[in-house]
Amino acid sequence: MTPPYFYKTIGGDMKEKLDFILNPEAVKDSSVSIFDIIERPEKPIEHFSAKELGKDGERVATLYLMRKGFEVVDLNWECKLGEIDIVVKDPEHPRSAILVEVKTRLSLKRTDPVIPELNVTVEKQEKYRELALLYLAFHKEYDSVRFDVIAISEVSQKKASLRHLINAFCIDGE
Amino acid sequence: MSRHVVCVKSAFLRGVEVLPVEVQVDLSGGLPGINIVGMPDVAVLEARSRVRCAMRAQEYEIPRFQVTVNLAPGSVRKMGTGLDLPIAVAILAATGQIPKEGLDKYLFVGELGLMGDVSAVRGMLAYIAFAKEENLTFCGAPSAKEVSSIDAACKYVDNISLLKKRLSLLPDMKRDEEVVEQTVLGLDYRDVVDQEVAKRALTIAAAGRHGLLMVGPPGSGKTMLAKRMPSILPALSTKESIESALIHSVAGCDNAHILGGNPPFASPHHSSTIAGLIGGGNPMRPGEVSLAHHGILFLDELAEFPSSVLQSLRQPMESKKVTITRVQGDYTFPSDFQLIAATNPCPCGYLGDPDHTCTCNAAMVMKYQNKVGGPIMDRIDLVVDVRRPQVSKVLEGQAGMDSATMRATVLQAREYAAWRQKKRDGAQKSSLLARLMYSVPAANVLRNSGMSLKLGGRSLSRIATVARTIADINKHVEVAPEDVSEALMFRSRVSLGVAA
Repeated sequence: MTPPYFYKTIGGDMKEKLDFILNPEAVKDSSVSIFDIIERPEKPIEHFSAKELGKDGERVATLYLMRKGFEVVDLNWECKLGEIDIVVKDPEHPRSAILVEVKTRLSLKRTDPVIPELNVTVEKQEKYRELALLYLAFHKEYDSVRFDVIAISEVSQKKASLRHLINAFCIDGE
Repeated sequence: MSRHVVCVKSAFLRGVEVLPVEVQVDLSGGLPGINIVGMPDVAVLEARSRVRCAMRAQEYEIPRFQVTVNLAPGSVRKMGTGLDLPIAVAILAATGQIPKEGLDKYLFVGELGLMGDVSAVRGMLAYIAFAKEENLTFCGAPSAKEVSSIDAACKYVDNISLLKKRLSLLPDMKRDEEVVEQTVLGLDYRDVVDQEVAKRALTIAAAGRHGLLMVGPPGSGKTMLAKRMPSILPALSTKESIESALIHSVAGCDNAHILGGNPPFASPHHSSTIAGLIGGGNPMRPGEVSLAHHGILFLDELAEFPSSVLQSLRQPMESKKVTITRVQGDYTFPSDFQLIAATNPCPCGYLGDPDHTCTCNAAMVMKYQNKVGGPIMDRIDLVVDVRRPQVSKVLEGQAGMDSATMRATVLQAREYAAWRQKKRDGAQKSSLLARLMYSVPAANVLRNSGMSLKLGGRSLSRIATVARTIADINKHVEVAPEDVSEALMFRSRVSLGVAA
């Protein structure tokens, strides 16, 4: 039985999805800047469109997670409800999927700090809850999920601050 | 994924009653989160955040599963923060982070702090007593005094990090062996000058647990006299002190001095509400009459109390317990107290004072005195006039009776009464005077005064019992005429407008 159109997911080859990594050998080499091994638009970051900035952040986050030892399972898992930016797996807990939401903001000359993670509002958490249930329904290999948030403030062309919120929120009952 | 249901025993308060709760925890796959069912109230729901922070602080792992917490029985509303600890224990046991074996032999009650520290909640004494009744070992952070007073088994867990080890390996809680002598709280009748008659009346009241009303002008020392009353009362028995301390514990008041044997002394302000006096609120708390259980309820400025509040005292005084009915059911609190009251004789306070002129007219005095009302006066056995002390005696001081002397008198009188009653050996006698062991001349004095003063039946029987107490103080086996004469002196004044 095919799932109804509403729940239809857009799959895709993981290999293709990881095409943005220019130099796969340097992924585990922490002496190389992440910005040097990912594909980026050739213009100053202040001229990035919102979409380009978001994509850039997701790529940085993916590399960060790979360097941390997580196994990247899926990128931009989509269905009609929305999108899960990154799905990774902790080798120590192979039955648990970690759903990562990446929030990227530009923070060039601002005096007050930019806190991208504040954009994960209660309404969005509710959306992630539904997405997570759907993801679990399509992936029987997992029995639990964890919600992480990665907040990236891009400060200059090759400099950004990154915060990884582990288990950022839970879904409690009423 | 296999099922891991873990049950942990706990309890919660309903009035002064303790009801058992079983905290059941089930883990299931899916979204991470904690879900509490079984009629929790807001404080119980907030336990989720406290439990999560406490677990994180003590380096336990937060389960990545859907945690369902059930509080059985599910049909009663659970209140309070005492369920934090059992919920945390059940979750930790279900996730295999602490040993599961033997948990059913413990009763857990305690509130969690964000660092995993466990603190006491109100009603600790009641929970410990309940655990002892159920043959469980209490587990939480009570005070050593409370545990040793009940002599119950207890494991002291002041942080959830202690649970990593098997509970049976934890040492039993140390007993508080320090014996606290009855402390007189620094108040002594020595400080009250020129009030020997009132002191005598208080001694009689203490010896026979009679209700007492002091009437006098402002500044005569009524409040001073009443405040020193606990210093002449005999120490509470163990059973009494636990009963009283349990109510204080449930109300969230300090009970250390009561566990030390001191009778409680409650003195509500005259702006108190009915609920404050007899109990009420949500969650239901005992009122001042219950806090005065086995001790003294002192109502200063009796006439200033709203009459509805005073009328609400009638049932607790009569039945020595308060029953409050709510939609959810009845709550019963014990309230066996001794009433001590003080009032001015009139609004200005100087009625009957030889040195001041009273500025009130008859109607005002009448209205003021009627506020107290007959039903309350009926339950007051002794009325004593407190006059202003003489100037010279206040300034120079005067050695009068001190608390130690008065207390000795009270103790002897109680002992004598107990001995006398044992001697009577349950011989059932129908008449009041025979029961109280009146001598013939004493009975005649009572009969004659009853007729000449036109005393009512209730008033007569009150005088008769007060005279019996005085006879016990004087160590008379049979009540003598002088005992009756003294009792007649302390009867309610006709001028107070109260049905004598």
